Amino acid sequence: MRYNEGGDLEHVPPPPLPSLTGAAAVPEGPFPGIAVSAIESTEVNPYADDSAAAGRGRQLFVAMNCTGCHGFQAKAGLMAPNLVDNYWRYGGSDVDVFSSIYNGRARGMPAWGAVLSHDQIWELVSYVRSLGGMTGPRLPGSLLEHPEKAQTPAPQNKRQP
Amino acid sequence: MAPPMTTVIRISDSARRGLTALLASIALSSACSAPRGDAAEADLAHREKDPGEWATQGSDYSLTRYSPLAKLDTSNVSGLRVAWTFSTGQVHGHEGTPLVVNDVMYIVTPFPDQAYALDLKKPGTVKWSYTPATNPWAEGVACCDVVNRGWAYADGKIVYNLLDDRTIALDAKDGHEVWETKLADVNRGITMTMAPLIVDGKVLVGNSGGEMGARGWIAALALSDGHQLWRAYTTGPDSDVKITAKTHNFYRNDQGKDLGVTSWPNDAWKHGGATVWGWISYDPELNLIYHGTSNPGPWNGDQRPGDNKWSSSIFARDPNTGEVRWAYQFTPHDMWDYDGVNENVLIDMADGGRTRKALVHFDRNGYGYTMDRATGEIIAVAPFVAQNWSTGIDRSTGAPVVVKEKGAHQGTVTNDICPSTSGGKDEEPSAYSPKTGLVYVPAINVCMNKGEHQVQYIAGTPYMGSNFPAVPAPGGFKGALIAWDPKTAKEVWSVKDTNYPLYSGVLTTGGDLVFYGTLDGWFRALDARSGRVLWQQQLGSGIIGGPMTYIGPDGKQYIAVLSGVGGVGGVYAKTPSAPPTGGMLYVFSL
Repeated sequence: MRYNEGGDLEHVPPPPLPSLTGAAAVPEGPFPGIAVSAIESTEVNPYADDSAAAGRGRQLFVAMNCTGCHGFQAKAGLMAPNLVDNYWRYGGSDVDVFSSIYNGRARGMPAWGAVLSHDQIWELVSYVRSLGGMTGPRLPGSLLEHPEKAQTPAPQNKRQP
Repeated sequence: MAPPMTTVIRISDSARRGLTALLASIALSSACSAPRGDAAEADLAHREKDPGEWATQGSDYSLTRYSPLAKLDTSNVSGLRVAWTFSTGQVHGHEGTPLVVNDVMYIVTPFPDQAYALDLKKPGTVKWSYTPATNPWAEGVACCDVVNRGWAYADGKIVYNLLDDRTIALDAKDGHEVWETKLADVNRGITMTMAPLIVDGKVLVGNSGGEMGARGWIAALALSDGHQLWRAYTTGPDSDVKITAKTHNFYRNDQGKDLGVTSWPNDAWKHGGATVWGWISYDPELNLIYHGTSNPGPWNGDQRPGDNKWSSSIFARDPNTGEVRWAYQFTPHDMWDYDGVNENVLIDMADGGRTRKALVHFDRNGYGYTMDRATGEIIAVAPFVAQNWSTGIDRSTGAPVVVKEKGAHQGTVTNDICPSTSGGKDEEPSAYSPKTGLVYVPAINVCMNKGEHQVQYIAGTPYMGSNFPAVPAPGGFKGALIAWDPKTAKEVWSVKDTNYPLYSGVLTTGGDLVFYGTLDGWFRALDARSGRVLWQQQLGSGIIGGPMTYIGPDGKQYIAVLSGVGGVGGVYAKTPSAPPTGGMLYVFSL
């Protein structure tokens, strides 16, 4: 996309429209050339649906001071987002959340890859998933090409009260 | 530097603006008695007395937020209308107060801390703007939204703190950087959000991070080039705190050697909080500055038995050296997040035929204190909102008498503690009118259930160990604008808000008006004597900034306030009936 460069704009193809399924279906990052994923995008959480692992994840969630930012119930604190919903700025699949914990994120999420083992990070992922939020796995290929296949539920319009 | 001629020009400016001869004579006498002859200081000392301008966050060194302007008064304020507006383009909390100097208004946004100079001769137009390259990492370690509480003017410079621990000085004429000083490292969980105070050629700044295991400090930087003149810590040995032979603490509870070490287990003071994120006031005659300190770290009090000095305290210091003249701890061994950082408003009070140099402080712990600012003695004290953590202040030791059952502890939840972690009042500053003798206090009436758990210090993460959901307080209201008599420590009247705590600053004027805003966006003018609502208007977002007033180039009196909800107040404003976030400056006139 060259819309800042001036010149002959008529021959520049228009930018793709945002996904019909909402912003969360097109997560930010990992930024090209910045984040190095520790795992393959096809990797599966070895502790999926393991409630004991989710329990160990909860202990880590408290011990690593995650509660201070994300809230004691993980429903958002003053410093960091809600983890119990389907809106995930950096992606809400198991692999995305692993990557966010491992690498950290630019606006203040610390990188835990040097402190916690892969197993411990997967336990944290299991805990967060047990809260009922997150999204399904990312599909092969771009969601922009297949918006109908997005696993993220479309955000619902809210009218209050 | 401002030559003496500048003073003369400023007075003629005031005269041109149609101010009374009386006001001009006040300005003249203050200019003649400017302290210690420093030209920059004389410039600011003069400007803070010019009611047409608003040169420092609290309107003056005493932080009264009082303006003698009286063109707007109780008889005509109902005709107030929006004159012009300006969008900041930022959606975080807008906490500061606009400054007006030489027909230019200065505002600073929340992170990334952009500065704007707005030309009042062409109202609302940008004279210059400045966008610093603020480190985005700071966003993730700022406990309570990425706010900026205020900016300062002196000697042709605009000085303020960046969230990423830099203090910068800009040329007020064109916005170019004069100097920049890095004071701390965001990776250690330290940020800077407070409003600097400029005293006698020194920029006084302090740190935030009491929720992140930071260790509190206050520093003085040279206004000329930004180099550090001194730095005093708020925990640790007396030599670090700058407690010396000249320090005389009034109360027994605050007397002893190295209490900043001995009132902590092991080396816990090194991550003990007591940060300096609130307001600083200044008495040029006593040559003392006054500032408070935050909660101790971690929040879980069971991990730090002892008084935890000097958290939740007030210091009176010599601005030249940082030396402590006196200190007093409002809340020893704080278990409730009762920071002591709220403003200390300096007032001169008639007391049995003599004038007493006092200060008034409304603490997070729910007590309103009137203290002798020369000695630190309590003159009067009483709760101003619902509180149940103590039964009173022991006037012989100075320590509060704590209700054991309302402590917060590990492995258990204590219900219905009042006030909540927001305090009976947060940092949003009150105002004092010398005309009515009353202090106008933006108060919070909320309680909490609190339970603690073990926490370890991990750099750059919250050092808290606490869960603290808010619950309703007695009285059936959440916020109140309280008119308070500082002599008797009693409420005179109040305007209660059922649904929202108050998080906006207050302005009071010579026209017997009190201005303040609410979290759901109502901006109000009250009669300063009765509390009657004389005027109100719904703004685009909730109000957590401080209102101010000035005389425009056209001679009219204007009122300005930033709307843009956020900060801790933003949590309370997440209701279906409150407007959303978004920064907008509103300027009103008749």
